[in-house]
Amino acid sequence: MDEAELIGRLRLGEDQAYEELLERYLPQVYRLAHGITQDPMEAQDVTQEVFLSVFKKVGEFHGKSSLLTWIYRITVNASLDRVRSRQRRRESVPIEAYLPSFTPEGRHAQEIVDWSEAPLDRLLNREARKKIQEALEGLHEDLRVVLVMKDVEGFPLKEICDILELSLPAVKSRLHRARLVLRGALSSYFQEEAGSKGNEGSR
Amino acid sequence: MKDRGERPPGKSCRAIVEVLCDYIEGELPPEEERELDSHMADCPPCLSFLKTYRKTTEICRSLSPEEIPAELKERLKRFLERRQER
Repeated sequence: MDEAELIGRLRLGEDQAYEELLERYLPQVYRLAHGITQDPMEAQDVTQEVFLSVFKKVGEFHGKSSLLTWIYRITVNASLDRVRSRQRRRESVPIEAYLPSFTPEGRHAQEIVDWSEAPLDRLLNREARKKIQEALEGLHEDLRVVLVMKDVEGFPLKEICDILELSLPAVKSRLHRARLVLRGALSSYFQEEAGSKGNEGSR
Repeated sequence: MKDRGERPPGKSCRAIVEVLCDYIEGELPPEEERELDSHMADCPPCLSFLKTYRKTTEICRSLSPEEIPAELKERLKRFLERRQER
């Protein structure tokens, strides 16, 4: 069934429509919730919350955006609510430690090691993934949302703007900053691992 | 945005890093992209920075969970069944 029909049937409260909704959108909603919360259990709770919300509130959906955009928006908001309500902040390293630094002339102040061509199994090993996840968790949630949507889940920039109701420059600015932090965290890890005494990401 | 008239010839490394997001998204105007390419050819630190920046975004792709927990769909379907029982 097409989107208009699905919406119509959801409004009628049809269970078949609800099942269809789950079939179509469950994985995407879960992945997005997982990326933002960085917690599989919370992501499951958020996913349930989102589908209940959609089912209850479909009467309020006016079709200004697509159904999926609306669902993603609910998912982002529900995930952020969870993250913000956590009492424990997971930030372990100040973000500035991972940002690049420059001389007064604007040149790189630190050694920039190119680890990009290391073998894939080294780049994706458990420790590296742990490091990137820690950095992701330490990001402010506004930066994390954009990075997760673009680089983890592959949303186009325009769609991110629509879902988050942000301008393109705002989205790009957050994305760039988040990427710089994660790059810095990975550089710090790879340089430490290599036994190098490079300054990037040093405490 | 810096005033073009005051900018010294060629971007600084700091200015290059600032536009890296646009660069890898293919959103820089052609002349700016050429300027960046030219800077990269003469600046090994910036080239390394670009390559590691790009690789970071690729590594992020691997963070997406491969599988959806099997119990999740069941949990949501059970909710549906409970609704039907009412």
